[in-house]
Amino acid sequence: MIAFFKKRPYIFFLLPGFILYTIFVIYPIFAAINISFFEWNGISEKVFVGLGNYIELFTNPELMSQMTNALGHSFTLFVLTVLLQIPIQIIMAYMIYIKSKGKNFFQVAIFSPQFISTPIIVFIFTLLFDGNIGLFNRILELIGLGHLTRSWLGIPELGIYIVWIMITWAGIGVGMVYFIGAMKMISFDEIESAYLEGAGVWRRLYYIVLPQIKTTILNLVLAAYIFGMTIFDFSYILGGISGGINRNVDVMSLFFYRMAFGDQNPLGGRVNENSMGMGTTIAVVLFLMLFIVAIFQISLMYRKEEE
Amino acid sequence: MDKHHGIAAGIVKAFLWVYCSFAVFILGYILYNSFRPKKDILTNTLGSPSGFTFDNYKKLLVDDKFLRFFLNSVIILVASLLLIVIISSLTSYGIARYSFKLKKAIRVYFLIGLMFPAQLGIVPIFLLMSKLNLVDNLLSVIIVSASSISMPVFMLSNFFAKLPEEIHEAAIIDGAGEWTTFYKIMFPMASPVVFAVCITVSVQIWNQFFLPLIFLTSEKYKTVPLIIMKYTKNLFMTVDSAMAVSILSTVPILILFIIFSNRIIEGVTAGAVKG
Amino acid sequence: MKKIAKILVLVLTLSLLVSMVACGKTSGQKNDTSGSNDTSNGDKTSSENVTLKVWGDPDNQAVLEEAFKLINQAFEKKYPNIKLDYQFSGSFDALNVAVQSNSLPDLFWVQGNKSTKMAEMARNGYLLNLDKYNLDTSRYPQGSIDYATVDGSIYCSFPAFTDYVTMYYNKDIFDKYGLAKPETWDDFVKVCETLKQNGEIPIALGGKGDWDRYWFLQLTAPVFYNDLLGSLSEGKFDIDYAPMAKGFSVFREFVEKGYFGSDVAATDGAGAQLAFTNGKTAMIIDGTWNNSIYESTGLNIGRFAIPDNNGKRYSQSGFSNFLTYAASSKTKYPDEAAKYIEFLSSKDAQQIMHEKVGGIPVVDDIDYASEAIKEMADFDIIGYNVYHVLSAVANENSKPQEILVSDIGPRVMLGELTGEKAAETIKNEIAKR
Repeated sequence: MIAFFKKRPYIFFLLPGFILYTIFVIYPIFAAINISFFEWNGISEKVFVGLGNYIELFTNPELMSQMTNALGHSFTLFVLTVLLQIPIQIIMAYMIYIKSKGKNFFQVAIFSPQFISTPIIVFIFTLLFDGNIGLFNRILELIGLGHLTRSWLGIPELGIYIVWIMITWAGIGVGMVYFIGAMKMISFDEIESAYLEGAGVWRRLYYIVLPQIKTTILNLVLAAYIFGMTIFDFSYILGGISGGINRNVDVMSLFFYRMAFGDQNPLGGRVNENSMGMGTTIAVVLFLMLFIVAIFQISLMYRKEEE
Repeated sequence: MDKHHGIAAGIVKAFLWVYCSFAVFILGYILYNSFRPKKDILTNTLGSPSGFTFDNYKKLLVDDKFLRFFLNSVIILVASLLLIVIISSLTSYGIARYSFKLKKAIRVYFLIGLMFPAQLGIVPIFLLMSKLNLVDNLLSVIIVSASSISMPVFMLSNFFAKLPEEIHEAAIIDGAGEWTTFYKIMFPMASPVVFAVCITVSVQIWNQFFLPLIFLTSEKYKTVPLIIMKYTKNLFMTVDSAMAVSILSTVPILILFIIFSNRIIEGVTAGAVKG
Repeated sequence: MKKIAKILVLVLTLSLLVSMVACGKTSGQKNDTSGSNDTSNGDKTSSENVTLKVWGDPDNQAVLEEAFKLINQAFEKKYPNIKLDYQFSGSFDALNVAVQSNSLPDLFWVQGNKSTKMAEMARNGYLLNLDKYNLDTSRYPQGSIDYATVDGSIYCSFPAFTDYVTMYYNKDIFDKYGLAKPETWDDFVKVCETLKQNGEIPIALGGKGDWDRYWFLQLTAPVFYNDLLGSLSEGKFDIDYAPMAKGFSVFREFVEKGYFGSDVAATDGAGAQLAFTNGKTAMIIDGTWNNSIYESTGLNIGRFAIPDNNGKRYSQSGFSNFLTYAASSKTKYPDEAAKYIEFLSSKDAQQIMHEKVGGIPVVDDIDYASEAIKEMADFDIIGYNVYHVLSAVANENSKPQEILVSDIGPRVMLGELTGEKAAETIKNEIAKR
């Protein structure tokens, strides 16, 4: 017995996390997945319907069109994050890493929106960009561009992009902190010798730093994917439960939330007949979409490492 | 190193200054509004202030006893953070440093927690906690928060994997046990990333809303985000308190962040890696 | 590093100790199911000291806190053996979890017949049936009693106040152009036109938010198609939808004429409210429940219920759920819980609520707390609430109320849908039943 563990010391390292995580994270998920096989509104008796909810989700044209719309927006957020946000994060992190003047200020200022609660952020942006009382429009008027004034946050055709900008503004610091951490792990000697060889600041980033933080980039791409699929609060606050005008800011987890807990509004409304059943079904579909990509990404990463 | 980074870097830096000034401006704007009487915010939103007042803060701190909620949040944060750092670095180290059959599967397994909305899984946890008699007790939130180690494990395991194998071997040859090697040598070496994890996890725990909402039903155990909700749900009715509460809940943690973020920037263990 | 670690460990230990000591006194959940059968020998418990756990509405905590403090004090004074553990923790999420884990508190707030939730809970045995306590219904209109009734039995306290969407106006702006409260709908349109001609924005509307936008539809529904809504609520669906089409067209007309300003689709609710309180618009459509905000601005603000062409002014039906509470069927102390419900239905509690929060009474014996409330209580007809009528019609296959709020509202506003097409959409949705 002792020999068994001696041979496998990792078990000791894994065990505490494994036990807690399994009880409080994994078990509830599987208990919840069970609900997707029932027709249930959360209050009355559950009725077993097997795969009925899944068939319904993929054959009902209304549900399907809502899902593809939300999925499209979630993908938009993911793509924008990978193509724009991650490069910006790397550059920001690099600027702090090479000890630019003002690095402390940068880091704190970039990260600080994290700590402000979302409704307040949205409210402050309203104070700045509203059509009637917004500061930005006031400035436009003062510099003679009064004809351009708009309610910037609400321009319907920009819906999901405004969501992305606000998410990015509030959340860009997280990835940046990871990049700084990763850059700090790079051996100093390498950078130094490159510098002595005359490599400029961007060449060092490209040839030395980037290859070293490749895994972090890959990880954050996966995180961005998970994030895009599970982001909720900005869309909810900007567009309400229905996901905005013509659902222009709808995203996957808002779609899930609308189905599962939809009619919770001050005017009352109805308990939807199969809200929990269908809501959970959507969550499971979302889960599978994330799960498959995660497996794919992780095996890709290990294959690379083994090479 | 060089102080002159070239024109391109200069432009990037200029952008950074503008960008960061905007963030500071937003914070300052909230701060400014938090000292204005409600009437002023509502009727003269952009105009010059008619006067400043400490009433908003007085109301929060004295009448609403904000410090109690702050203390609750701090207890939850400190306790869960410590547990998370210990548990997740152990787990990540186990995954990263040893090779075993189910390694890939275990990595994916630890990611699952990020993929499913917590609202759906709450009832079984609630039943469990109520059997343990932990409902309406800060411990319930601490335990459940400390179990959400998906992101920390995901980020940390890469870095443990990257640490040079020779150091590990040398330590073992020197007679250090697995455990000593871990916490005397490997853990400190990964500390820039451990700090990065700490910072991002703290933000999540500090802002978490759903768990306290479900588990902490008594007013005396409520946390800062729940109190913020009290003022933002009817934002117009309580816009004065909403501004003040944003400042009170943001600034202390921002100061902590400034202290700790310096440690990342300076590279806590630059020496250790070299040595 | 070591020092920090030591300090952290110390803080942790201390904090854990503090939290455990503090939590030690908390009692666990009452999952005892025997309670409901004990009701017959209620006398036995009346002399004991009991504590009732009550969950209020956290979304309105800032509004209700003071009122409930006073109400609960008055209750505990009246019944010295009953203590209340009143917490604002009855969020929708927490109540869902409590239902699904069978751990509802003794009492909690409900939305009566405004939502189907209370009915669902009653039918599935989660709620205490209050019939045998013979609550006094004599003070209430039939609507209040219906609110608390599921399948012929009473399940919650009766609402004594109503909420509706009304028109707030800036008297200073009205005076500037010699305008008065409109007496008819045409008057109202004229008022808007005059304001518009003078370069003012007549009405602030948050066209971006589903609900902020919907208020216009709720406001105008009884003016144009009150009878139609009456027929729908009686289950007559084979009717002429032309009046509804007219109602929707008016919304689009107002947008086209610029009565909501130039960028209505992009304006959000808070922005609209701020525009009004900053004097940038002459009127705003908002709930009577927000009256205290407008009063606190110190502006010279008046209110009027919207008139139809015959000069009849309408409110829309909708009871306030601030005082409506139900008891769990699993409560150990059903008699005491019923006493609390009875107290919430009493004039004493209602008068406190009225003075602290406002609300337009539907019972006769409440003393009006302010002139503003008198103004808001000044309407001729309680019209139908279009959202409530449509959600009462809704079933699994047909959700006209959702279509109205999140589909018709925006598309009519943007001119993608004519009034006729919109009414037809509602008609078709109802036909799916």
